[in-house]
Amino acid sequence: MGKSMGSEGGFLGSVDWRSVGRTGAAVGLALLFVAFVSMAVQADAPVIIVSLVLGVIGIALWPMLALSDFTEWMQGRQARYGGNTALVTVAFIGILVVGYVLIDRASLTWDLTATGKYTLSDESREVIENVVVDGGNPIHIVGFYSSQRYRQRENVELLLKRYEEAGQGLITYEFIDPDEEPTVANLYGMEYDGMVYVQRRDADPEDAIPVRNPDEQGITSAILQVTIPETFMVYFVTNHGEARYEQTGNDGMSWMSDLLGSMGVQFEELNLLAAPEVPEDASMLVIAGPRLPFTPEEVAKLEAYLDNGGRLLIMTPDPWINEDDDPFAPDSPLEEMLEERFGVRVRRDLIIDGKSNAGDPSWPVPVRSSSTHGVTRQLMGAPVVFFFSRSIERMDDAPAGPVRLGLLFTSPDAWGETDLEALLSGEYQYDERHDAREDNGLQMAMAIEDSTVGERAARIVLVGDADFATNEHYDVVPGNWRFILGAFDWLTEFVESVTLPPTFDESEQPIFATSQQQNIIQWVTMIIIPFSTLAIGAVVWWNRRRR
Amino acid sequence: MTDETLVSEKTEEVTEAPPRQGRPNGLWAIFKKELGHYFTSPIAYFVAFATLLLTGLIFSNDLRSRVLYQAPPDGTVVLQTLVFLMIFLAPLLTMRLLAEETREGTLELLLTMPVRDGDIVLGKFLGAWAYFTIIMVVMLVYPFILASVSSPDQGVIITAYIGAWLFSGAALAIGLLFSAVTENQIVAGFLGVAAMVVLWLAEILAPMAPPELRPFLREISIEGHFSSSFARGVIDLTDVAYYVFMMAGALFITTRIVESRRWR
Repeated sequence: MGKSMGSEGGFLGSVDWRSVGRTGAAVGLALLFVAFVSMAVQADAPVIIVSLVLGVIGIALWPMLALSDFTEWMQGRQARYGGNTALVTVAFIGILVVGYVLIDRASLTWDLTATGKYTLSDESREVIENVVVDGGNPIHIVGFYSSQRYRQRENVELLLKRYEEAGQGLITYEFIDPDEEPTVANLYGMEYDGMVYVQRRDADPEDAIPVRNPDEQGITSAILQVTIPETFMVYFVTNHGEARYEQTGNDGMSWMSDLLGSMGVQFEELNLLAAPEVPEDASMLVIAGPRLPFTPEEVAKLEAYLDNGGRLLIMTPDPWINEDDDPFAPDSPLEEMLEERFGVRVRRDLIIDGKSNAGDPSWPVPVRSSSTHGVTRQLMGAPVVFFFSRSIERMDDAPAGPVRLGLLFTSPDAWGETDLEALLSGEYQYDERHDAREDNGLQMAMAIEDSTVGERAARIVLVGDADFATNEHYDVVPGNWRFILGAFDWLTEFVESVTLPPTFDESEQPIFATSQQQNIIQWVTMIIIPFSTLAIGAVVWWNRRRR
Repeated sequence: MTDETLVSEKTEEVTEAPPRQGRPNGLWAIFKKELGHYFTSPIAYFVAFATLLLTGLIFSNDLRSRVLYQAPPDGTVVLQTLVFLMIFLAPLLTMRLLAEETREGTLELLLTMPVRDGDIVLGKFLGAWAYFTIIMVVMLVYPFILASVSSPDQGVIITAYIGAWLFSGAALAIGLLFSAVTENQIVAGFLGVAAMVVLWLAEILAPMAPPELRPFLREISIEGHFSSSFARGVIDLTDVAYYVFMMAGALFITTRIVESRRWR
């Protein structure tokens, strides 16, 4: 032991200065580490400086208080080799950290999900391309996520990074913790933790478009809304027992307003009896399964709207309504307008298709659809299932002008059963005197376009069923909602620009396994596999013991 | 000759690097020995049994509830459980690897053989990782069963398996590091579990930490790098680098600790 302050007498003489010096050095090293970490996380300057200074002082205490011990340790082989090892280790870890930071900045990812959930679709890329070409309107995306919702934030960030990369500097994003910056959250009118807002970079927060479901469709649509300053108004005709867009039960159609509403499409109800005319801002009207007839006045307003290039989606109710109440009964005003003006007839029958694979002959599944028409193009082969559908007739003695195109067709074996009482009793059969049957199958939906009257062509999508588009049935098969979105798209002509067709993800379909299958799976996974392993282990142990 | 010169010469003698020609065989021999040890040790079979029983239970129950509630399949449920189990499994599998050798004095013997220190560490690590890989291969039966009753996203399953495999490598490397720190297996195991818990909880504790520390805590989270990408069907090179660098760092430090026995 060399000379140290401990050689003095009194209280100071009883102090083990070597231990104090070594402890000081250890604490000093720890404080230097704290300073290094603080620098790495960009902590406050005082924290870094204080820990740095105290660290240096701590280390300096050793040579100051016990110089000989310090010198001896430094010259010893432990210090030499320990120092070398520490230096090499720190250098190696440093290289790893630098490598990690560089890789992190490169942001290289591969999306292996079946539907490319974290890869931008061509539609999104096209939208972003427009932002880039436009150049003058950079987009900023703000996500409000508290610390508790870090996982959800990560999920969204995976996607936002793709937008930022594709945006070439014209699309940026940031995350704000609403707990830390409640004022900013209030400026945006944040409704709940986990909301994303899309805005022009120079726009006020209150003009930002909220994205409640921050997936690719929601974000791309919001970017479109920011860049295309159009509003779309869809009116649901009421007063005849129709399904309503606000109705959330099985019979309602709230899914439409939920889906399209978040993309800027606005929905309103329209009482044709009360309104002097169809509002001018109507992008399209929806008549969703009316169960009472329209008055001649109402039909006149509809006709006037169509004359001005109006757009109409008509979904017919099933035929089990009194003939007097049926808005599509022969001689009813609406039916007369369809027949005389457009040359189409909604039959008062029910399609029976023995070839239907939906589980019931009265749930016809179209075997053929128009692959080129705007309404059905988005089906991309996805099945559509109607529930108690009427057939639609393309009348031979139609007026010249309107172009009528069948969209969905039954199998040639299907017929339109007109004996509704026989249907209820289950004793029905094809009767060639009354029931319709066509060589190419019955038409279940039709698109009509008439450009002979106004400057703008009138368009109608006429569908033989309304149940398929209710909350209960719209998603039983992907074709149902795709058909509706296709109809909105074709009728309005601009919905296409704000609606990405939702991707059909097969992996989102529910699991189906019988009880027997579940029991077998349980046996295999909980008994056979683990206990076989245990048995092999027991044999090995037994054999080794015998040796 | 002074004492100092003697010490220096002695040190040079002790720290002299073993002949290079023994390297591949040395690594291979240690790897084979370690892997073989797992297949002759009843404890290893018991660990495999417990892991497969637990994951089988979770897979089966998850499947039943998804059928009941008509929910879509999730091929990552078992792997998310597995990575959590690694907090305890990794130290359990690695705690004896170097601690036992040290306690029984066989590590000194190993160090005198023509094998590099790094090969000793790497051979033992690869043996443990190979053993765990075999358990994971057995667990591949779950996605096959799932595919027979549904259409799970195969891409997500593949990335989740890659992620869980890398996760296990990092966890085993950390466990091995603590096995080198002490000659007491229990202490090694305890330290390994403690380190894994800290790395696991880093992300959960992040919201409670000062804002400056949060990014750092999230970056070191061993679980966050799995759940934020691999478990979602994405391979992020940053997360791959995290696990690979974690393995490299832990194995490097372990090697230095083993090497320090030559001059301590």
